[in-house]
Amino acid sequence: MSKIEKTIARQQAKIEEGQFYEAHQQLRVIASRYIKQSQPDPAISILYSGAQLLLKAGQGGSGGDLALFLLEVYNKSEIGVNAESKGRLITLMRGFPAGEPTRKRFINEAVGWSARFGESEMGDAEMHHVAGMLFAADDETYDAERHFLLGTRDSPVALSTLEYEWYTEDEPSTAPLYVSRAVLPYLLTGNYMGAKQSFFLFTRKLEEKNPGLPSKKVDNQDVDVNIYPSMPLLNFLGLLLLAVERGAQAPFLKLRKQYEAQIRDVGTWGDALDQIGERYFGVRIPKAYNPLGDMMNMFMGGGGGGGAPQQKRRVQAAAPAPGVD
Amino acid sequence: MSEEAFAKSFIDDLARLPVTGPKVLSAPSPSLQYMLPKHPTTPQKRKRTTSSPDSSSSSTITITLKPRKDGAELSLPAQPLTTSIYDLKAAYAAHTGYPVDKFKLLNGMKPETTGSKTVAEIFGLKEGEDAKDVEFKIMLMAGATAQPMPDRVVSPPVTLPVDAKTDVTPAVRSPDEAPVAQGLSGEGVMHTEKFWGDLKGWLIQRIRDEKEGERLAGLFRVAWEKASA
Repeated sequence: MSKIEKTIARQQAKIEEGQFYEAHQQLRVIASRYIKQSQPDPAISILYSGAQLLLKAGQGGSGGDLALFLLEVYNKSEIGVNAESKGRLITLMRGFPAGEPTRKRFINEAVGWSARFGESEMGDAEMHHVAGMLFAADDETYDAERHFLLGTRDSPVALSTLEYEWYTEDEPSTAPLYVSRAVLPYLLTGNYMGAKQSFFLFTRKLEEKNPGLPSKKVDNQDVDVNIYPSMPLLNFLGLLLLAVERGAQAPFLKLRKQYEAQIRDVGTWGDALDQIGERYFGVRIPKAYNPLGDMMNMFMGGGGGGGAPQQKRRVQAAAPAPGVD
Repeated sequence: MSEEAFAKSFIDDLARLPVTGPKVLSAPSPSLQYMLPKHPTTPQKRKRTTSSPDSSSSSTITITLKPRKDGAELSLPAQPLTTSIYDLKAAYAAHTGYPVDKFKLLNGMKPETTGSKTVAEIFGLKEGEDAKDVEFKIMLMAGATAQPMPDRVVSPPVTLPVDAKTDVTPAVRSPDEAPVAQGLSGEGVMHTEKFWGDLKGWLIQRIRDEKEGERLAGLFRVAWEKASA
């Protein structure tokens, strides 16, 4: 048994006896000592095992403290993202007792570390997926969304399931609002397959669970789509996904115009649709109307001419009237 | 215009346009606001009553890691269902001294490439149900040699309760076993990152256009995943 293993075994015995505070303090001290001697590896082993043992014993606070300390060591020692370093963090994420407040902070900082030292600036996809699963199990829906949207190819399945379950607690007519929470953000992150898959899974479930829901297949030689006469915004999303495959501006503008009123009623889609329009269809985002800025421009001699082209762009983009969002 | 009539005219317009595939966007940047705002009428918190299973009543199982040929077998009793492939690899590495990137875990014939997957996810196990014990096969890659143990800082993911029957001596591999790594053939190959990396490399080389090669490799993969889903 190595020295480190002996240390861990000793602290494990303490934790099993219920001496949590003492074990926590000693683990901290021993790890700090290794760090002072510039030996991050043994410090990592001790903090990882110690955090796990405390979390397992239901000590979310002290276990979480050691877990955060571990991340501090990762950051200071510039530990890269690999199967081992990432695997430890994923195991700790899962080890927190449900509802432990430190967990959210640990997850955020762990993802932050992976963004700093890994391949993706947005954070490691696998870590995002696991975080999504944990928050979904805890009914923390918005946090689950935030992570699933940057997750792996398993994430769209999990996210559409979550959105569907969440939807079943709301009015039957709100289905498009819930599926849009997967579809539009996946488009924004550039994950077209995720957007398409979550829409497909959600609508399939909707039809399965509601055999009476009117739906009609509309098709031609190239394209087919299911239309739900009672849910116009669901149709909007389905048609939007088809338009994204072509990337042409005209259909996108026509689609937004057709559903303008309903989209305005939703109130929360405007910005996302503007972004999607710009990035997939090359529709420029109308500048936000800013009376104070315009007035300043006038005083500064920038001229009132700025107003006219801006107006034109707004019409061209068929965006909702200003002030909707 | 009715929903149906609009949709029909819309897809007829689309059919006249070339399918360019969705525009490939640049990778999202941390400043991107990618989430939809909270909807005013949507409940803040789920209100379901059947909450997730209580984690304090966690079931445990025995997980056995068996080499396909000879070598050390590892039996891990009393593991939580959330034990991940990463955990198991770290445990096997700590036990045998093989580096984690020199062996794979196979579930039947299929290599488990997603390290964060839990045994519950892989085998469809549920908390509170009668847990069955599970087994993975260990496939050593070419050039896998056990690292000398004393130099390694062993950081097992779980305390390693090792069964008495387990052979604790690290396996010494004879050179003629090396081709095991090439043993993976057929569909299994497609599940490895290496295959897709190789394919991309070949495409880029063949087309002599990095972007296009990458795009095509991605396309093939998506199509294959779709077909085998």
